[in-house]
Amino acid sequence: MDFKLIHDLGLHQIKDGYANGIDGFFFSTLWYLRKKNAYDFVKDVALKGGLKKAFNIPSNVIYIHGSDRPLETESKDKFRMFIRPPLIALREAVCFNPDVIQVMDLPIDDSDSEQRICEKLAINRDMVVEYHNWLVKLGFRSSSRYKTGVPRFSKFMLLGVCHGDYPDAHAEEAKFMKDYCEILGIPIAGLLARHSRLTVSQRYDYVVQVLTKVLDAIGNGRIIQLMGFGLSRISELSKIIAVAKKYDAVFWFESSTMVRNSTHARKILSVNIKNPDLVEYVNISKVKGAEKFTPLDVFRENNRVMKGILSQTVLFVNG
Amino acid sequence: MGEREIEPREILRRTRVEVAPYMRELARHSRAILPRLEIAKRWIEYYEALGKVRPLTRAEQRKLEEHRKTQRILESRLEVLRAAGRYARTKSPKDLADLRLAQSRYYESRAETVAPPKRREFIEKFVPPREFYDELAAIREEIEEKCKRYKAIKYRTTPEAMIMSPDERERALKEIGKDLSLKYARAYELGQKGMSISELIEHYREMKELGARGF
Repeated sequence: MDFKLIHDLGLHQIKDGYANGIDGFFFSTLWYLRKKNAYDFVKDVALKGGLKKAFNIPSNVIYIHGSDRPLETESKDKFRMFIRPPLIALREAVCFNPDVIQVMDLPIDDSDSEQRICEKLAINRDMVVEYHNWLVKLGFRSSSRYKTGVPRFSKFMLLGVCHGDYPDAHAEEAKFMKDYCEILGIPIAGLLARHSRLTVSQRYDYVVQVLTKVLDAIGNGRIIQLMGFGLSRISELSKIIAVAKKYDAVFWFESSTMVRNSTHARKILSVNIKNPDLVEYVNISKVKGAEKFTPLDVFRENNRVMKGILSQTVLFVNG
Repeated sequence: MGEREIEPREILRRTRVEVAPYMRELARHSRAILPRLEIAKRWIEYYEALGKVRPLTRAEQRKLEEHRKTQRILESRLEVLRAAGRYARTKSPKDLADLRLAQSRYYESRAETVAPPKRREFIEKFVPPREFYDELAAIREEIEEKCKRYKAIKYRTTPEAMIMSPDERERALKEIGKDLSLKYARAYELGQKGMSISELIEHYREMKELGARGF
């Protein structure tokens, strides 16, 4: 059993040294594609030997290169589009020299019919195979495999996102992607947001159901990334950790909430004295000794505290 | 009494003596990594010690660099083999991630052996063409502008939109809508497979009707 905290970082944060001393970070194409000199940026980084080398990030920090998101406009379906073909995005990802490349994926909407969902999932599967084949063709991956199904050699790990409309669908997707991807992403943020009629606790129960089904189907042989898992509800964390403990699984948490709270809101994770069971984000002006913290200090402190909470929860949760 | 100064010739002799047993081992097992690593380490030590006595010649510097490269490759290869062995025993995802990181390092150290101009050429080949980014940026700006105007007319936020008659308004909205769809279409065409989601789904339906495999 192992946990890693993966933070969503932007260019400014990477320049400011946020990426030093953390488990890993997620760098999305959003952060540079919207700028005018995107081409120069990509070329510069490529010639310097990748993002990690360009910004002096230690080699043990895991760098996940995110994929493009389909643009959403007012009319949801008609104008929803990829901004570019998947293989061009992959070529660009290779230039950034990351440890993990996220495969482009289509999210599922509430309004989608049964047939449409099937088609979207088929396209997702197709893209995973396309990514894998391209990497094999260019010599970044070997075509021979271990008995566990993963290729023997690969310069990059692939992160395939398992979408679905019910727990078994997620499990089916995971079963397919297992042969191509080292890391399987479960889009938790979507699950938590979509079922708006349920209470928060019930939503997390649903997440647990999905994770259980996925782990039942594929075993604990792959890393599972909880995508968009904001770690916003720390009280519900024990449910997820109980699953990890039961299956001896490796989870990577994506914690965008933490970056948001640290850099923009300058909030720090702390215990409420009146109610010691409650750990929440509080503004630094209200925390003794943290008044003069810079955003980077706040981020490092929050990262440390959250890792502490994770390791403490493991001790007290029964799997 | 101070330490006796060692002559360069003496250092060379010592290094040769130290390297000899590893050379014998290598003669028996030519692919063994550890003796090769030891040899590279001893030669690096030799050149570094020599550098303290007198400045290295160009040929000596080149040799030192070569030994350093060899050492890096061998170390990363050893790391890959160890990580692969560990993963084969445990089959745990944590070890799989470690194996991949080791393989990535090995790949990078191998890539360093390629001459810099050739490497640069290779990398530049991978970066998608500049025109692609430029056109994408231009289209995005145009789309954003059009969307702003569309919203302004629809919700009557500007004075110009407020005095428009209903007919005029409808016509303007239609025009912008048409322009927008053309822009989006151009954006799809940019790449070979840059299709919208609805187009992709249409494509899948057609393939399915034609009885394509895997559906």
